[in-house]
Amino acid sequence: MKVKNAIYRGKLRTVEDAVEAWKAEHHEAMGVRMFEEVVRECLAAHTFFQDIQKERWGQLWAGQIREIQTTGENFLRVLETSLIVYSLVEECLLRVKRAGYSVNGEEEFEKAFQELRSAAADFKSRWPFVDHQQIEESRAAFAQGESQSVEEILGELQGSDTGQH
Amino acid sequence: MSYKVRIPANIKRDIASWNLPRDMLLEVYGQLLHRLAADPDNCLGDMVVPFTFRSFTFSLVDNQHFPPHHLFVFIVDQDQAKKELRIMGCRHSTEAPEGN
Repeated sequence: MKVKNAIYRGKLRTVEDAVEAWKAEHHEAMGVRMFEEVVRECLAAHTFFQDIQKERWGQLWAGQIREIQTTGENFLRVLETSLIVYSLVEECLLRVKRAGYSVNGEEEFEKAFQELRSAAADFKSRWPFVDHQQIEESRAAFAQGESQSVEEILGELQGSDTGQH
Repeated sequence: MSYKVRIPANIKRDIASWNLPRDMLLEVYGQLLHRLAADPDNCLGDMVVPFTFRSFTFSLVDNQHFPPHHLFVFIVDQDQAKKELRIMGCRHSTEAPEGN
């Protein structure tokens, strides 16, 4: 898991460095063909990202992840870094377009960026992260004696309410 | 000796809010009662940082409803002296249509 995250972060760093290098060398939105190289790198990184994403969810469903919280936090960081790097690429893309040029791979990039945004939102909402507020509420409930045994709850569900302690 | 599993009122409400089919809801509580309580050392995973709690994870399949795959994670505080397992947190996730 960590290996693929590291490889992907390396790919993102390559894209980020390439964007910075392109910005430094092409103030007047020249060198569109060079920028297309950056977009190609970004799309290649995106394909790798899709593989990791599929793998993470697959491992979760297969019960192969012991440290669900840590794994989720690590992948969330990867997603957030991706969003920053894609934003840098998009900023340059808009600059090139404003200068009247078209960029090969533009549509694919926009699609990839949209997929990434959706993946990040979906991951945040569906990955079983620990809810700290819920834990605090549980502490308070136990402190106030507001708890039941599982047997009591099952009894209630099965129609034989045994009351709350 | 089996442990006693205790559930605070907020967690009971949260589990109810998942709106699970009745059979699956019974199965969820059944997992806590029969699997976790009977053998916590084998059921509980790694420590949930920054807490000293551990997680109990299992998945259930319900082919009668969509989505079929459900994952459950319970955050558990194990009191070995009292032989008690306190459920501190719970999460439920379903598989996305594309299989993620």
